[in-house]
Amino acid sequence: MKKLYKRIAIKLIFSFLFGSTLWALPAGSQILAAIDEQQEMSEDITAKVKITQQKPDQGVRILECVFYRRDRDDAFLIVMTAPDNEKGNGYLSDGDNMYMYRRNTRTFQHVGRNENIGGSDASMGDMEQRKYTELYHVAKDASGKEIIVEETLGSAKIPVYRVEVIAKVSDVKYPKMVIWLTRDKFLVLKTDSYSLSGTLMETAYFTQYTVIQGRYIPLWQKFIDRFEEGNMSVVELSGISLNRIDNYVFTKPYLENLSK
Amino acid sequence: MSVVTKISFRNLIRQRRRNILLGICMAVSMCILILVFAFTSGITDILFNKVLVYMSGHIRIEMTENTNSFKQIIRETDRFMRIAEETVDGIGEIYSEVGSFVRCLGNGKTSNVVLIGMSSDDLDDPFLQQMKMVEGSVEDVLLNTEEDAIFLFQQTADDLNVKLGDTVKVRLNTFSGQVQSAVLTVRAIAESQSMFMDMVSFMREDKCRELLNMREQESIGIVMNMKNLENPMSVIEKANKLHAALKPDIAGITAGVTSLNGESELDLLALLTDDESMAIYTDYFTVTAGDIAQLKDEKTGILLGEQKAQELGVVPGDTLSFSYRPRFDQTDRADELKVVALFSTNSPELNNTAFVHEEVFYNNYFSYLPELEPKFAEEHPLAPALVLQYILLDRSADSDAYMKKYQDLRKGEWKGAVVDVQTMYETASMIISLQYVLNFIGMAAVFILFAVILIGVINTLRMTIRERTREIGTNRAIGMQRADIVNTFVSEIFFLAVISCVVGLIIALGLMQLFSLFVFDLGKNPLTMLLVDGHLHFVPRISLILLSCYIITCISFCIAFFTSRRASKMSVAEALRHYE
Repeated sequence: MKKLYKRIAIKLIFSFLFGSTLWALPAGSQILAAIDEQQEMSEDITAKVKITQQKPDQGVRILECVFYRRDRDDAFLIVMTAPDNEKGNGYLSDGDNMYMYRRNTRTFQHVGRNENIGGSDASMGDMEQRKYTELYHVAKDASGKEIIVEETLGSAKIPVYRVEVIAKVSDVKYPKMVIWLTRDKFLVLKTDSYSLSGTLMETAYFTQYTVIQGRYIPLWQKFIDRFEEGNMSVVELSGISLNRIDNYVFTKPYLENLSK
Repeated sequence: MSVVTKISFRNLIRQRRRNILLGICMAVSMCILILVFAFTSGITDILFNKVLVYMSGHIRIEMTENTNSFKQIIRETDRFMRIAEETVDGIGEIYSEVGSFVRCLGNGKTSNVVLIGMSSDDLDDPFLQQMKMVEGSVEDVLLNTEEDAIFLFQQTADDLNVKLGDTVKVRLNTFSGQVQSAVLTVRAIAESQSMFMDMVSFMREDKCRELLNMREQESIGIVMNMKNLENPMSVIEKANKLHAALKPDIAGITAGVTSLNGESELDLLALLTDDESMAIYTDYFTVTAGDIAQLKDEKTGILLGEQKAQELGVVPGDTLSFSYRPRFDQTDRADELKVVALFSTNSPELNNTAFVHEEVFYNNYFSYLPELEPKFAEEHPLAPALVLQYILLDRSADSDAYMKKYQDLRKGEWKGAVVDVQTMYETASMIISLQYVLNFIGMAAVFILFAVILIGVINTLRMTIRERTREIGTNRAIGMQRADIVNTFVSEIFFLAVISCVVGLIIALGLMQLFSLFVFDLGKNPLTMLLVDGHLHFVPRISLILLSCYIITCISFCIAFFTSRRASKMSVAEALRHYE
């Protein structure tokens, strides 16, 4: 009996000394770095993207495009394939500059991050691969502790971290975000995005994660406008390939030829 | 009074009925001319002094920045306003613009609105003074310190389904692209003026700045309106003068520089890294250590003088920190630089100068103008390779040239800031074209009508003189000379024309008053922009009245002269025998 009590006591002491370390929340910088690592693609990625946009006063609008991305050069290329009035238009970023191509005028225009894509609510800045560690830091409460909470999400009660982040730079779309991400793989499942004045503007859900060549990619994303209730967009990815993309793809001549 | 004049007056009274009818035709012609001229002047007045003044101003200064994103912002508004006031004469008002397009959410309805910031100084503005308020007052918005208040026009309030005291939510982007939102309380609603003005709403300027995350010295643009603009073309010359005065200097920062081994003060200038610029300074500098070509790729690179490098104890590859106090902030800006090369120089002005990659300035200078800015001679051989405070765009002749200029700008890969001086001719030449077209249509219509009336007048004049051929013969027989005959008839017609013109003018003025009383409710028709509070707008100008009188008297004179001259050349006997 004494041996049993001794074993229990040792386990309790062991748990007290080391369990708190084992069960401690990860640091904010660690979480942000993990998100960056998760989202950054060391390989090139090609995907077909379908955006279904719903607005109460405008009905449903469907946009389709082909998306090429190369994170190591901060380059991406979008070529619109539907609807007909957008077909052939394109958007190119070569890392330093962003361009919009109009098929009917066969001209390129230098654009900024706030340029909308295909008349949708998505912008060039949304397509850019920018690191959370460069843009945000984890918010702290009154006592100086980082706001990272363990929660469960949805009816499936997925164990997640809820992290509140504040922008470090002024040229980021949402100055404050709350992110829900899985505890095991740091996959982002939900985000709430806030305006500069702290008003909830958008809620986004990222589901149907699939593994392609060891990378987790969300095939289904839903963006709900919290400012104008009833507005929402659904982004669906398909035909994903991580094969190498030739360098000439991220050039103006290629986009122009593709749009012919 | 001469005999000829007496005879002319007597003849006017003698053939009363015919002269009255003739006079009525001339008076109607005069009336139509004055009405049309006054109406087209009114359209010009509305377009130039009301629509364009609020849409784009007579002259406008705009600055577009592209450092990491496109922004339309003037960082140092006071400086540009001072230069404008010193250079442009005849400015009626000059103000800076603070505002944005916003998405507005009312009671179950949404609308896009232009939100403009106005200060309490604007309470005396004639634009606000002439507003007819439906509910609330402008003071309730511009002097309200307890809440964020908004002023709407009735049409917008209806579109948003809101009334006085209701709140609206607005969504906008700050000038740096951040999403912003606010809840505003409707504290004033004014009568709708036109489809054009209905889109505009107002709030306190300081609150608007806060929403847009703009500092006190920052604005979207500077607008100048001239006093009593009668000759619209004069703004072009004024804009050209202003353009010449806005020539930029070379951008620079006087900064404190620190290394592990020392600290110093340096004037930092930014080198452009395109091939042409690199060729300039690669030839110019005598590099004593490091590789100047590295500056192209090293975006935090600095080219340092040998002497300074010794003072700081650095060599190529070492890191320096620099900091400077911005002009409009209390917190110093700091960044790091990497030494890529050292240069030797015999020029004293370069002893305290270092050269950084242009990216350093795009990340610092344009958003945080330095308190201390060094002067660098624009004649220096390095000047073409250095970043300027801004690029001053060439003046455009019209809207097409203006649009092409901006299209070319957007195709190019430029960074930094560009400044443009615009007049209403470039930014609103469609409005000006509309004015020309409306004037042309008006004038064409009146001249067609005028021609119809004139044919009648001419015919009547000819008939009158022909019928008096025997009278001419009688006058010739008793000794009147041909010249006197002509003068008699010409004077008679001239006096008739002048009297008719006066009568026509009085009728025209009366009709203007009458037509101005009618109210035209055109709803959302774009033609409402040509009305003032739903009323037609007439502007009779002395010059145009005199022109109308001149046209009618000239035509009458010519008809009378040639017809009477022909009649006076007939032989006396033939004239006496003439029978109609």
